Amino acid sequence: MGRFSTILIANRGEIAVRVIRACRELGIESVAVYSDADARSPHVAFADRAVRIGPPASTDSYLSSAAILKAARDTGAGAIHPGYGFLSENAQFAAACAGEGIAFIGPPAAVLEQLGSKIAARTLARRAGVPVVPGETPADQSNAAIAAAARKVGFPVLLKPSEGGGGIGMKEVRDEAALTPAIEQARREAASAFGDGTLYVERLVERPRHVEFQIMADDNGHVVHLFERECSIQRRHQKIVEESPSTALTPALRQRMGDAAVALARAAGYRNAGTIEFLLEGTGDAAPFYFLEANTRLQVEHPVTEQVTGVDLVHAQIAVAAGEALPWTQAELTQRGHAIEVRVYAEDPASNDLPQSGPLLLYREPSMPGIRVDAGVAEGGEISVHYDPMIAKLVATGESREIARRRAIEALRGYPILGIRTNVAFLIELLEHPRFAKGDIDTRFLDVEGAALRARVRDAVIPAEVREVAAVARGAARAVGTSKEITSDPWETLRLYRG
Amino acid sequence: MADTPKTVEADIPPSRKASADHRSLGGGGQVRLNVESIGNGLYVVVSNRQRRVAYAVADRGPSTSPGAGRTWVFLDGRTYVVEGRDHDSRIRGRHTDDEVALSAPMPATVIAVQVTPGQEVAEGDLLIMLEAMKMELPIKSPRKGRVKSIACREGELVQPGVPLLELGP
Repeated sequence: MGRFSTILIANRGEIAVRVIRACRELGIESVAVYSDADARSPHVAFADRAVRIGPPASTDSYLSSAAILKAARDTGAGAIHPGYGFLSENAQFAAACAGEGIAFIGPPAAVLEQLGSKIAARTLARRAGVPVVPGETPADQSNAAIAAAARKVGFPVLLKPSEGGGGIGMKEVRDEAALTPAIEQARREAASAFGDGTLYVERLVERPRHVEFQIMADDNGHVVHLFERECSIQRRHQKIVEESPSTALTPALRQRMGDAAVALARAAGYRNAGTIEFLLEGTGDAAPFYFLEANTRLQVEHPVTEQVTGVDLVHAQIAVAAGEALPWTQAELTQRGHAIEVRVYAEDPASNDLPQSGPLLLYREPSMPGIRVDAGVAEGGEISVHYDPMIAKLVATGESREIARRRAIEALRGYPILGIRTNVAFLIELLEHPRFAKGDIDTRFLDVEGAALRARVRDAVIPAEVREVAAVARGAARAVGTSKEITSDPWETLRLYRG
Repeated sequence: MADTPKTVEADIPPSRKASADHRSLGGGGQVRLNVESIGNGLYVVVSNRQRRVAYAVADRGPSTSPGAGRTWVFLDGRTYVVEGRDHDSRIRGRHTDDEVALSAPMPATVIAVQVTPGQEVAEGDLLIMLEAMKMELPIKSPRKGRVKSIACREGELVQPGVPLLELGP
């Protein structure tokens, strides 16, 4: 097929900037697409060409496959990189690209479809010999039959409404004695919440960690994994901190999980970059782990893997999509040092993480050894109400976890973002938490520690130094008037970068 | 940027954060505090012989914008918002004796208006559901009262500070 001469990036923000940079490095022309809300965004400034695709609402712009395909045709793009979110896991969109002779930089439509269905993915995992959380919906819903199912699944178990979701009506049962009353209560709650008392019995995974494996596959049947990312620090199922390696993995456990991820990718006929997510229970060589789901795209947290393996995943994605072989063998891939990524969000931890929108009056990224910032914003720009409130990803790398952790804290202390509230102070508190420092984390970490962390960043009193700085800043503003003190226009800087 | 360094006597509150004691100022008391602008939004803060760099910017947006008059300061990984003298309370809702006007905390889309003018509501009742940045933002009644008027409709994009609903006694 040969390399592409032009690639359209069907995304916005930091991931669009990241892919555009990779295109530049490879000598490929990049085409940005943008909604009216993003006309002045860095991803538009950085790209070689830019095409307006619609109004601010994502459904009419970044999610409009018709508008994006038209932009690709009009610019002669040979491939589309979907980034993450938006159309990246949309099988119809991948099929439509193929139909137009445009390479979709990701897995084929059939793979997106199969792994996009949780039930089909679970069936596939079983067939590939990859463990899933044991569970069943007994056909006979009598107390005795449900109790038998619980014994078969093994205690502790979780009783869940078969029709349910969102944690409603779930009951943890630790032993035989508690079983019958729990079944009756769960059935009543399921019936009143969902109009159906049918119960699903699942093995309860205690203090699970979320550990995922990066995989990469080419058209010639080569599949490799690029080790794990530990993503247990989550709130409302959204990851906030990711790292590699995981403090819970031994070399033997890493081998078992990596083999399982590759086996599943092979069974699915996977192509390009992907992630296999697992729930891990405990630690040690024989710790049980269970397949959770597959993410059929480049992940937000992919830089963590790049930092510890030294590879460029976007370069590899482009090569593989062009029909080339994987640039590395499994034996060539190694994990070196430690990387921790934190996601910087425009949100207010003091008011229940309410997302914030507004101007970036002052925005300065930290620059120091071992720090990588992937961002799609610039001083003078704004965080728009229309899209995800993530401002940037800060990745700290060091020869040990402790060095990476301290580096991340130091970098955040020198990362001023003014004009909107952010979670920077919250992230610092999180990284300084003794349990995080020890690597003692699981997916419930923020459920347990979050309230105390938020309380620490709620500032009742403004220190005297800060009041004084504000007074001097206001005075400076008055004295200099409209010419004010910001001497560098970020758009000038961007133009300079463009050369 | 040739601001005259300014020295003031100030009361420093005791540190509220024990784990950060290597950066904190220790107990209360009078200390010398010196702030000097070194340009481009950077300020050198010297207190208790400790030098730190702060970043600050005054929001000089149009006086109608919700943030106008605020000064933003970043020091030691924390962001502070110092309100201007003409503290603007529109964001929390405007109080005129027994009437309260409720407004959006941020630009948002109205998904549902749950009440009609004249309706009696209790404290905590959901009045309007907004959505912004993929999150639902419920506007709940701050007290018992009667809905006086509604100034928004479903599907509308609303701006912060602009009254959405007036609550009467």
